[in-house]
Amino acid sequence: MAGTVDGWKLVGEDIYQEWNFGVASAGRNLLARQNHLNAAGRQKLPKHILIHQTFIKHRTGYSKMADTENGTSAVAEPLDLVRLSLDEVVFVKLRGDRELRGRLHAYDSHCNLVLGEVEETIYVVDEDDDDTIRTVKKNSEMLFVRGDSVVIIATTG
Amino acid sequence: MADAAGESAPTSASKDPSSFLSEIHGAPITVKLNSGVEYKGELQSVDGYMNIALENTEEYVNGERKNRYGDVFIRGNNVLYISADK
Repeated sequence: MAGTVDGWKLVGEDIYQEWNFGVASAGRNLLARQNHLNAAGRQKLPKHILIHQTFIKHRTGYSKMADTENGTSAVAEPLDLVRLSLDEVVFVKLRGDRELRGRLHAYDSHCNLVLGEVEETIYVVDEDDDDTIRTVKKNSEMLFVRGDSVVIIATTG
Repeated sequence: MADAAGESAPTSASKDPSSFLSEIHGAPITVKLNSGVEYKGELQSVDGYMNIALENTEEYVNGERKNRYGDVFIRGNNVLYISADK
């Protein structure tokens, strides 16, 4: 038995025993958050994992977990992943060979984003120098990104 | 082409694209984008825009692995296809 999360008992000891479960939520699947250490005892950034319902043996305390006052619930739709990254540093890949790394302050369903302390990397083909790829870096204190240029949003760490 | 759908692929009880997507929940998949970049990871969820949440994701550019991410959100408009890995 891997452990109990707010009354949710889990099977599948092989996979999950290295995780410290800090967050649980409603739905048929369960969201857990890795808080501190992996199996090697190395400190990692918090990371969310979704536990498939077949690994969950018992569900109790359901209503407690449906309560989202602590701002967490299952990754029922992809944008929930973005919500879980609020106030964390994210990596964003944009159209036009641009990448951003910054703290996610806000987002909406179009993937419009507000990022703080952003480092932007632009990949440019240098035609003067045998078409090698050159990078240009820019820093911004705060950036509003229009959603239609977003390709992926990834958590870092 | 008129073969019974279930014959060649035993797991394909699916009758439409969305039941295919719900069948492969939690499974390893490959997502190819219009740019040609591929993402391999475990499918967490998909929505009606074909926005995709993946975990334990690897990014492949021209067949070479370029990056690893924990969780990735892919904006649906960039998706060319979703393929269930074996």
